[in-house]
Amino acid sequence: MTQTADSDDALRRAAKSYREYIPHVKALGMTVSDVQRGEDGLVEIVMDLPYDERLIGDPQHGFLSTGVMTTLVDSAAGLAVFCSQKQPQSIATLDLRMDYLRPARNREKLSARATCYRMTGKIAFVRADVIQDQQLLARSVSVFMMGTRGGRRSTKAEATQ
Amino acid sequence: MSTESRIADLINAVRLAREAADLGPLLSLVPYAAYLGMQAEPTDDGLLFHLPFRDDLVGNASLPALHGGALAGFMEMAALLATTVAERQQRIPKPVDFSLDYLRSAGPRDTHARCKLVRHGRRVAMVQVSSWQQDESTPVAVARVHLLLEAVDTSSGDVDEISGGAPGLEARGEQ
Repeated sequence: MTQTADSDDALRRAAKSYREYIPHVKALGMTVSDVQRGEDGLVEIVMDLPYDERLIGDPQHGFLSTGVMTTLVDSAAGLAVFCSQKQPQSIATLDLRMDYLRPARNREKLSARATCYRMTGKIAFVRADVIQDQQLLARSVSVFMMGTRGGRRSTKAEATQ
Repeated sequence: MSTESRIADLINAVRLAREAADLGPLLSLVPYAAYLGMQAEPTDDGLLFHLPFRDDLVGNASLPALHGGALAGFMEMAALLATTVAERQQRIPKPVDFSLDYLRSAGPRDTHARCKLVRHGRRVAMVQVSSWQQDESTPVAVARVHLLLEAVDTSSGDVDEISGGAPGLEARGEQ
């Protein structure tokens, strides 16, 4: 019981410190507000983005850009995958789809709830919702690859490509 | 600022883009485009968009690599702006969906994008976006977005007003 609680704490701390390693996440002021590990060991993350006028995509109506919703989803999904791994491997987004259901029409924060729901040795599947003021703004599915050379790997050759 | 003056600003910005090859006013009108630091110029092959590299656009700092979401935002905004100009829209088109494939690592350097627009009848456009760094033939990502355009009554040149606030948008089921 204690062990589970300790590892939950460690998970929570790791997730919340995520922003320190990802400059764009930190620059946008995104924060992790919830981390849950399911019975299958896979993780669900909730990440928040505070409202910022600089992120408006439709100036005539003041709606936050859909691009920033995608950024929030990609960040939350990536973290969900990272936290779900049994052994740490490099991860990279393979593809990401967004369906935009409603515009972000007020000044409330955006939240993305990203759930990693399947993980094989090389591939992780995530679904995510973007919510503002209890309204569903967008629904997403994404696929990540892990530990392969094709993604954003930390080798000199890749970095200087 | 009134709705009319906002529309006028956009119409003016689109005109400058089309007639004076000046994308500056349009890019500065959309806060998110300005935040990303996007630039654009007309070429014989359509508008060419640029995302100059900046430290706060980085995702994985250990590589470093451009944040996937920043790249996605750049590509989607490129599609929106390219369509606004090409289709002479009086409001930024509404994204319906967005699908993105990451192909290669995007490193700490400038990224470029070009769009290809296909009209789907009067109201819908499908835009394919390709983004690259070193070489256009080796893109870092490709994307496809569906946009809802404003309805233009071509007989009178008037625009079907799709503005107003939340209630107006809720009422229109298609949106």
